[in-house]
Amino acid sequence: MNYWPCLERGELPLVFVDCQKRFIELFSRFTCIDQQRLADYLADGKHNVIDLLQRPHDIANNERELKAIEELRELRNMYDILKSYDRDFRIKSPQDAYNYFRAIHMDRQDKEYFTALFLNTKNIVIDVKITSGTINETKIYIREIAKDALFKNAAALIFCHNHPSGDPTPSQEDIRLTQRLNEVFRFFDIAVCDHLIVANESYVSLLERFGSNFGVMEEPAEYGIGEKIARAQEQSRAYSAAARSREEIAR
Amino acid sequence: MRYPESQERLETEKGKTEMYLTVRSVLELIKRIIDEENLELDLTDQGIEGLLSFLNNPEEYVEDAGICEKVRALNELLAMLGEGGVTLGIR
Repeated sequence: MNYWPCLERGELPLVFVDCQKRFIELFSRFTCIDQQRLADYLADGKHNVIDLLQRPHDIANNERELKAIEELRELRNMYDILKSYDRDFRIKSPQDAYNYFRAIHMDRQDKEYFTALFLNTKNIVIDVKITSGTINETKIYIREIAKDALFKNAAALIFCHNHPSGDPTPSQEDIRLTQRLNEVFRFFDIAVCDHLIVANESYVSLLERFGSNFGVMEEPAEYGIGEKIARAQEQSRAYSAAARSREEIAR
Repeated sequence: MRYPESQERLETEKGKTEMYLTVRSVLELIKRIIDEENLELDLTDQGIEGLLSFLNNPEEYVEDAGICEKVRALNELLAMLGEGGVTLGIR
C-alpha cells in the first residue's frame, strides 16, 4: 500500500529524507564510516538500519569501524536492558527468561553468543556474561562461569545461546553441555534453572523439554538405597581386610 | 513451568552493588563511544535513573559544552536505533 500517493514509488517523504540524512550523519560520526558509503548501503533497497548492527561486516571496512559498530550495538542493548530493568522484576519462567534474552540476542545473529544470567536468591538478575563464538559454535569455559558465579554470590543461573541458522532445536551437544553445567554447579549449591536456545523470534527451553534433570537418566531402579548400602558395606569390608593383611605382613 | 526460588535471604546489599556495577559499565561504554574516556563522572549512586537523565540532560552533569553536544548526539542516535527508528521511518 502506498501511504504517500503524491510521491513516486520508492521516493521518501521529505521529513523521512531529512531524518535519514541526520541518521547517516550521526552514525558516521560515531563509527567513522564514510557518509556516502552509508547512504549507498541504505539506498540499495536491500538493507536497513538494523542490518548495520546485525551484520557489521557488510559495511565496515576495517577493524576500527567494526569495533565502533559493535560498541554502539552493545550500548543499545545494554540501554534497552537497563530501561526495562526493574528491581522487583523476577525471572520466574522460561517466557520471562526469553523476554530478557531477546533484548540481548536480538541484534546478535551473525554468530553464536552464549549468555549466562546470574540470579540472586529471589531470581532477580544480578549480572550478565556474554561470550561470542563462531558462526556455529561457542567455546564455553565452565570454570570461568563458575568463578564469576561464586564471585557474584549467585544463587541460580540461566543460560542462553542463539542459533544463527534460525532453528532453535537443541543439538546433542547443547543437551550434553547443559547436563554438564547442571552437574558442575550442583557441587556449588548453585541451581541451573534453564538453558534457552533462541533463534529468530522463537526459543526452546531445555527445562520445558527435558525437565529439571535436563535429560540425565535417573539411576536405574534396581540400584535402590538398600543395594547402595550393601555395596558400600562390601567395599568397606574389603578395605578393612586389605588393611589387616598389610598390618600382618608388616609384623 | 516455573523456576524454583531459594528460601535464603542473604543477598540484598550484594544485589544492589552488582546493579550499580552494570550502570558503571554502561557509562564506561558511553565514554568510550564519545571518545571521552578520561571524563570524571560516576553515576553509581544515582543508578539507572541517573544514567538516563545524563543522556537526556548532559548539561546537568558536565560543564564542557563539547561533551554535552556529543552526549546529546549519541542519545539521538540511540533513539533512532531503537523504537524511534520505526516511527521515523528509517528502518
